[in-house]
Amino acid sequence: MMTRRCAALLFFACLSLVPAQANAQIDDTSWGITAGFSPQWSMPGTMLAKLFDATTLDVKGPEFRLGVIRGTTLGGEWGISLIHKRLSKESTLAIEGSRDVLIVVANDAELLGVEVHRFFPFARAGERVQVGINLGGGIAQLRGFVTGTYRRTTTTDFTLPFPDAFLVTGREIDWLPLGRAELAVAALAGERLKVRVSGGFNMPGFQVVSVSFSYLLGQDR
Amino acid sequence: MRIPIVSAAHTWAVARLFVAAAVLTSAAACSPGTLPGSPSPLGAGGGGGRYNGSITYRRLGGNYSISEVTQTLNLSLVVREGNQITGRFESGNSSGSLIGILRGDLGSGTFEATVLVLTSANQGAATVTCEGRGQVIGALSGRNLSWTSGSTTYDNCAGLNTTSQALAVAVSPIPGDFPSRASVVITVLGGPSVARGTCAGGVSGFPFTVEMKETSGIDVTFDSRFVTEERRGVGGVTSNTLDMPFTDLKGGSRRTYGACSPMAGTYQAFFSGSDANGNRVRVASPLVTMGP
Repeated sequence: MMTRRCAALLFFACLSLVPAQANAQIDDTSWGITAGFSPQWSMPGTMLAKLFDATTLDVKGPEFRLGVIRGTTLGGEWGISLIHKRLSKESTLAIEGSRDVLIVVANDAELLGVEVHRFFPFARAGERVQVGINLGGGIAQLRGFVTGTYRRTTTTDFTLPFPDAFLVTGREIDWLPLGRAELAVAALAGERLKVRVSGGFNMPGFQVVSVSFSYLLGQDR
Repeated sequence: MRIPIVSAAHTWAVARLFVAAAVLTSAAACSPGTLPGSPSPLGAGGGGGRYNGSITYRRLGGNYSISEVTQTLNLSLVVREGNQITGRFESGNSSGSLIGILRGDLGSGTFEATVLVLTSANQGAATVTCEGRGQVIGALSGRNLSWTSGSTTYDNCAGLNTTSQALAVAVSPIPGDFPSRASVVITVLGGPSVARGTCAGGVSGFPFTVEMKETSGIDVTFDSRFVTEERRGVGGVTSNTLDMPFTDLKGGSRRTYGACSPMAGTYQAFFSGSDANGNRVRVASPLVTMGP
């Protein structure tokens, strides 16, 4: 709840920074840089469990993005970003092997990948606020270590590379596809900076809120 | 300032004499016949040994035939933390691993061990490599080692039942490697007798750590399942087959896993696989004893 409030406050703070005059916007398509974060993405319950041969999934963590974009201040944009999704230490997966269930807890696990996104504005509020959808796709590598536990009379704990956690299902998952379909609101802050707050599907999970900052490097008119 | 030339020359002469005396002394020390006694024969040392001897298998039952002639035995034994002994052996028609507990030392002691053996057997015209398991009781006296196995049964050769007897003499205190064959050693850190402690989550129990390491520098790929056997109190042995959470053990590397039981009893795990040269690998953990 606090993160939602913080994001909302940040969003309105950015809006308040918008100057009254807006005669120096970049209308020609130009390159820029982008950075963003999501305080928490999550993969709750059993919705996506079958994809991972799991009986339950409770995976969550923050996400950070850094990349380059091409677009305009008053239009849309596309870009390519490096994505880092950390798995919190409370993240657990119950992976169903052929003989038993391996309870996997993320000790030091992450997803590191590349994603291409495109923001399509479909409505505008005033001169500086856009409403649209942000779509993206990419691929991420599973990295780091997890603990896999068999809970029998004698509990056994194995420290495993993250991709090996799925070996008990007979497969090794080294890479995961990334996907993104978010409802987004973007606001122009100043002449070159666009702040976008979004939420929605963020494969392999969901996120309530994500904040992106895009800074265009093109020439002013 | 004047330099005392005569004094410097004198110092050099003394130094040369000293060096010459040292060279002569060391040369005399290296010459044969000046050692105080004859060298000891090579045998098993405090930490391990290599034994050469013979092993004889006897078939007790089953629809298979095996070689029952006496075969040459090469055995390497290592004593590890907590008097755990691990060994590997090869004979004409078999090879295997041995894991157990040593009472005493390699010069005077006894041991009980689990032997996992690969034996070549025939059923009709077909030759099969049978994967057997048995318990051996052994004795060590001076350079001599002997063992007698109880009934050895074979997972993939139903009905085959054998015993074995081995006699060997220590030929080196240095355990040897068998060329081109992986060597997986499983030990319990701190020894196989585990005292009460605390399991994860703060529950009272018997925690221990099992270490698996490959010592020959050859990669091993484990089978997709492993077996654990547990005994609680006076009850029988419970066997569980579990999915192997990892399958690769790189040559020269090690992996550990933690285990904890809330109750006293015993625990033993059995792993199998193949090495990078196509050799079958079968190995067990020591029999872990939890509690009094």
